[in-house]
Amino acid sequence: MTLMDRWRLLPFETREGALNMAIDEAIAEAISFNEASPTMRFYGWNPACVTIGCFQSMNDEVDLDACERLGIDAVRRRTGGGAVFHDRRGEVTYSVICPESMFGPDVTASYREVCGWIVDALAILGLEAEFKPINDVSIGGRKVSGSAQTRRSGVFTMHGTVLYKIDRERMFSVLKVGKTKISDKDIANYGDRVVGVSELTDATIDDLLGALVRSFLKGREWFLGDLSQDEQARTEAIALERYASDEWNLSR
Amino acid sequence: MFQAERKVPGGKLVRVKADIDGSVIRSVRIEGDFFVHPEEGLAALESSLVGKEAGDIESMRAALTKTVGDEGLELIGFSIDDLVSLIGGK
Repeated sequence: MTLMDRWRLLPFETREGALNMAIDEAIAEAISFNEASPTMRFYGWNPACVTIGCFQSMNDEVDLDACERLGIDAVRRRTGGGAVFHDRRGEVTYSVICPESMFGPDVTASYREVCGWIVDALAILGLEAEFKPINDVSIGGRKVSGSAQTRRSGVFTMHGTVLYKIDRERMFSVLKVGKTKISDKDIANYGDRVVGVSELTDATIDDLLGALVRSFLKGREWFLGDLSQDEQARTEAIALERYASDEWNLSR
Repeated sequence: MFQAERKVPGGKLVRVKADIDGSVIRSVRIEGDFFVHPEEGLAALESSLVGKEAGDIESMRAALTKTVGDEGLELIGFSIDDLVSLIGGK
């Protein structure tokens, strides 16, 4: 067995949005150079942050004045998908980063696989969830988790969120909910289309984290690791040049 | 600025913003919560529409199809036809 056959699990950390996104990219880079093991990380956000998909318009999706007023960051991801409000202690976010060969070329199948790990984690907490293609997990028709993936330089990166406790008022004060997207429903009902784990069980956010870690690592060889010095240095550089820059964040 | 959007049934939201001079597309942005692999391919899709007649659906479809083939793009949550009908619906 080589280093590359085992998953590296990083310790749970809470960081600002630009760093969270830069870490995923620094890890993917290291894996593409064959310098890091396949990696899973679970993490939080401080301050709270809105991320948008790489093809979305920041101004169409996010009320930047409200973000400024509330001290909430706004960052463009390098993955597609939609706008997400990451509240402090409101969710558990994950990233799975590994050689693309570990998942194969079929994008939908890989969403199904990783979302299946989320479904299994929620089952540990007694919740019956299901994969909702393309990239969601829902409970009773309400979205509890959304994910997004990219594949570059032979490296698979998928990250996503599992909602724990939703402050809907804060969420909708920063997200501009598209009119077309919910043309069949009232804005007032939009909040009912998402659900947090805390609304359905007494499980704590640490219980949710524990269930996710158990499920994601089930049947896999793994070790608890840290970012290498190179990865840390690249994280800082990538955050500065990309995720903390208006040029990137406001490019659309 | 011409703008149109649609929520693709079973797919994602696609919003097209275009600068159309007379009937010729001068510039176009394709935005939304869809996925394109690899992501750089979206800019190629956008450029392939520049200079096309917004009313010429066949020519837009051919240009987009060629770009998807040349760049090896995978579009997830929307299709070439969604783009063509959004712009052609002008």
